[in-house]
Amino acid sequence: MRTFAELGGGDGVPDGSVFDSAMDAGLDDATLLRRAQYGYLDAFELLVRRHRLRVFRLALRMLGNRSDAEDVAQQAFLDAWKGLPRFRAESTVTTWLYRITVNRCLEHRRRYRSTAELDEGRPDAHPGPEQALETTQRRQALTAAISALPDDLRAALVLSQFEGLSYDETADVLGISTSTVRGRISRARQQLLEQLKGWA
Amino acid sequence: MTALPDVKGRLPCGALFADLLDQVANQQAEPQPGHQQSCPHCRAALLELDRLWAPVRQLAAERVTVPAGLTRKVMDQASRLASTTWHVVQPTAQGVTRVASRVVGTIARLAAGQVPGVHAALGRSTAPAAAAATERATQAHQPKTTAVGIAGGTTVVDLAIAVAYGTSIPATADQVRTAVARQLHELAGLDDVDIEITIDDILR
Repeated sequence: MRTFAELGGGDGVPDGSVFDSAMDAGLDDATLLRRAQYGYLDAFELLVRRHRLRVFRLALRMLGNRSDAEDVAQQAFLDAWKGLPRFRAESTVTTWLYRITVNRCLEHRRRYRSTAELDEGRPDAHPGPEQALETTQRRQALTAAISALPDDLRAALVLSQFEGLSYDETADVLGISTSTVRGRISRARQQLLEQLKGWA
Repeated sequence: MTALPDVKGRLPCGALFADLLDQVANQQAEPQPGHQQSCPHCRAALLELDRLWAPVRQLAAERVTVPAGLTRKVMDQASRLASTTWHVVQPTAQGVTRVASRVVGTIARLAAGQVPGVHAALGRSTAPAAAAATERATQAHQPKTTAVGIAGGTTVVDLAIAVAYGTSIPATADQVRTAVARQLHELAGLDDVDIEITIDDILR
């Protein structure tokens, strides 16, 4: 029997669920989605479990802190649930969920830009050796620098650099051409590098 | 440390700095082999970029954990939207026991999954007249706020099942009905249950 982790969505959060691997094996995303469209709530739950790591991680890298990312991940999945009737099999479930999550993140930023707080990577209250502190500070600064990128550059960069999507896949999620994606990622990297140079 | 040119500039050898950055960030090989290996400008720039870009690689490799309870919060809200507030009500002298229809569906699914030949099953439970209404509510995604208890009425369990190739479907369906009815009786105290079975997939 394959386990959830092997199917690509496991996140190591034990929650004592009755969803065992046997029930998941052999059901692909498209099948689960079709059943969720017919109102099978547990089919939707399997989809949530399978994709929650992707959706949360994307939101985390886009927004820079865990509590906003959790809110946005929840909202994104509810958008997906409400949008089930409109899902057409033109894109994969993964692409569809990434798209919904990106939109939610941008919406979140528009609404809360003024109060944006970057707590992801906050330095430890008890700093360890010199080296560890430096790493933590650098990581925090990097997270902040990513969050500060313009929306269009940031979405393209996070999808490709942190979610590992190809240029084509990123273009598919964002609904833009591959060459536009290439340009945005390149510019995002150049802006980040300017920051990274400052810390060296 | 090598002095790096402006990110939009070129190296003395003519190579575009932005191209080298993309090459490092994508962890690609040299697009046109031959030049970089012998070009001191390219080699120095690549080394420096590799060092500068390391924090990004580290962040990308970091293991992210999903907040515990995310799935539960999503599903709680989704089931409210789906109007699956259907409860099976069992009145007794000391009070009333309500079982969420989702729980009934889950018991049915797990019971069905134990029957040989059943690969995967999904279950939902609805009251007879409510089945269509639930589907409509889901399709139109309008929240339906009335919770309806079914006292003494028939409970309907819908099961969507994938069977293994080579399994007799009628025989499997019979076994599933028996197993599900037994579990719902033992675990939820439900006796008057209609079990609707759809075989919608066959797997090798």
